[in-house]
Order: sequence, then structure tokens, then C-alpha cells
Amino acid sequence: MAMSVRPTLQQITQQADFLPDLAVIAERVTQASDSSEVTALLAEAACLAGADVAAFASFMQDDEFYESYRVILACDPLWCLAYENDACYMHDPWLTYARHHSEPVLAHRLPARTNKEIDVRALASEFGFVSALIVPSQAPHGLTRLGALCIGSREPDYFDDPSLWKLTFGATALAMRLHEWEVAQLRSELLQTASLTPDDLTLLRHQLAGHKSKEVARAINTTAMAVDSHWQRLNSKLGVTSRLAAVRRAAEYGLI
Amino acid sequence: MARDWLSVKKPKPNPTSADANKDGIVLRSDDGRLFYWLRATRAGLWVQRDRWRHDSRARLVQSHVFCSNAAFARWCDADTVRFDYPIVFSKLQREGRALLNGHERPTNAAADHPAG
Repeated sequence: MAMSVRPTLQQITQQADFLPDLAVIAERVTQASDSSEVTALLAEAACLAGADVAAFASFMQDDEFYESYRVILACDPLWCLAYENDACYMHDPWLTYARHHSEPVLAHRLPARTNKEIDVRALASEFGFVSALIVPSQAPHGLTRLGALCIGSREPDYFDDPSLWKLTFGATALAMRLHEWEVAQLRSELLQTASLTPDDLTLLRHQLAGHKSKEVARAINTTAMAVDSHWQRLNSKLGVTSRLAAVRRAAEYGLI
Repeated sequence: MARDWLSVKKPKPNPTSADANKDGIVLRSDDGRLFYWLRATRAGLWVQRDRWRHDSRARLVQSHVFCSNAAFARWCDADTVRFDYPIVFSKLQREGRALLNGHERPTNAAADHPAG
């Protein structure tokens, strides 16, 4: 019985439908109604690229006290448990790269500067990301929100191929769509949990534009005292202690 | 073997009774630091685990779709929070298994036991 030979990245990307198929998956992410569909699409994309595993991680400064990390896993979920137990997010060289760069990169080109970073990399390798392509996706306007698509292979040099550009091209589109989808979920989650009204959003937009209470009061035909009172309720709904923090939160969650 | 993680079933074109329960089940610890959100989907058991850690001032939300009871049980066994939150964890295992058992039933089983 003949052994099946695994196709190389070059053979996979040479197929005429490779990029169109990846584009279709990216487009379907925008229509996904829940995270399970996105997980399936992520797995489908990794499979199409001949990879073994994939994950989409996003980061955000939630408020003054907390940072949040969200991970959609198309890989062994035990990786993420170990990642959390060791607080790897504090020493993740891939995440550090995604914070400061927008270009896709091969993971082995990122230096691990500390022992903890080496451990984080070893953990990823143990769970299938022996070689990996990291595709950052950042939010505009200097927000803290960012995403990183990680596509991994158990083969050490799987991605070291001149045809990699085709994969990075398609994966960039996919990472952007995944990030947009994640933001849409966050927006919907915050609207729901904080029960924000259209008036709340108007107030947040005024604050974003730098308007003081008196200016806002004139614009919406009320008193400055009523505006201040509305702000107290709004801050309470958002669980923040200042107008600036409220605007920051709303912006991070894509509300304004 | 390595590609098992990429074998998440594509959603079937026809919705099943599992989709009726769109919002799923939410389990939370008394201290509000651990949440699980479970839902039976066309692809399998979707689980979102949301943990707030005060020590590192971080919140980690992870989501995954389990296609079998074995994969779900293995994940549960590996989670160290089961020692800190035994009651929540016991509910997680019970509800997860129940949703997966429902999902793994033959498609025509839904017709035998219509929802509602």
C-alpha cells in the first residue's frame, strides 16, 4: 500500500482555487452568526493551507484594571489551558510582535528574549505550532485592541517556501475579517450587558469630540445638570469611573 | 492525528433542534471570576470559558468546539480550576455531556422527540 505524501505549501498554493477559496472563507466569517461557525471556518482555512492547527487571539485593555485576551481555537484546547495557567499572555513573543507590527511574520524569525518567552514558544510547539505564520490585525486610531491569526504546522520548515506570499496575502484578509467579527461580537455584548440607549451613544460621541457639559446641553436642548446626571448613570452602566474611561471603553468595543 | 483539530464538522445546511437553544447554558462561579457558556451547535459542543485572574489583572476568554465526549472529557480533566470551583465544574461536565449526547444522536432522533 502506497504511503500518502503530504503536499508542500508550494503545491497547495499553486492550485488555481487556493486564493479564491481562502477569500470565500474570509467572507463567510463576516456572515458567521456565532463563534462555533468561526471556529469551523478557521479550521477550514488552516486545512486549505495544509496546516495542522490554527488560532485567532485578540487583546484589549478592557478598563483601568483589566486586560482581556480572547482566543478562538482550531487546535488542541489544552494548549490554551496551559497558556492561561502559566500566564503566558504576559510573555508571549507573538503577541508582543502583533502589538507593534502589522506585517505577517514567520514565528521562528521572532527572537525569544527571556526564558519565559522561550517557554511560551516551546508550549506552542508542543501543541502543534512547531512552525507558524503570525498575521497581526490592528485597530485604527491607536486603540489597544489587536488581533493575531496564528497558523501552525508540525513540520519545522513548512512555511519556508517562496510561495508563502500567497498564503500571507489570503491570511491577512482572513485575519482582518476575524478581527472585525470579534469587534462586532464585543460591540453587541457591551450594548446588551450595559443596556446602552441611543442617548447614551450620543453623549459618548459628544465626549469623544471634546464637548463640555454646557455645549452638550445646548446641542441636545437640555441643561448641563441633566447632562452631568446622565453621565453618572452612563458611567455606572459601563462600570467605569470617569467620562474619559467611558469613551475609551466605548471606542475599544467599537461603539463609537 | 495532528489534523484532528481541524476536523470540526461544517454546519449542516438544515438547522437541527439544537439551534433552537441559541443562547445556551451559562454557568458562573459565586465569586464571578469564572464563566462557562455552553451551546449545542451544528458543529458540536461549543464552549466558551471566561476566567478573570486578579493576580495578573487579566481576563482570558477561550472558545472551542468539541465534536466528541472523549475530547470534552479530556479537556475537563486537564483544567486545574476544577479544584477551585468543584460545583461549577461538576455542572460543566454534566451539561456538556448532555448537550453532546443530544448532538451525537442520529438526525432523525429530533423528529422522534420534537422540541417544545
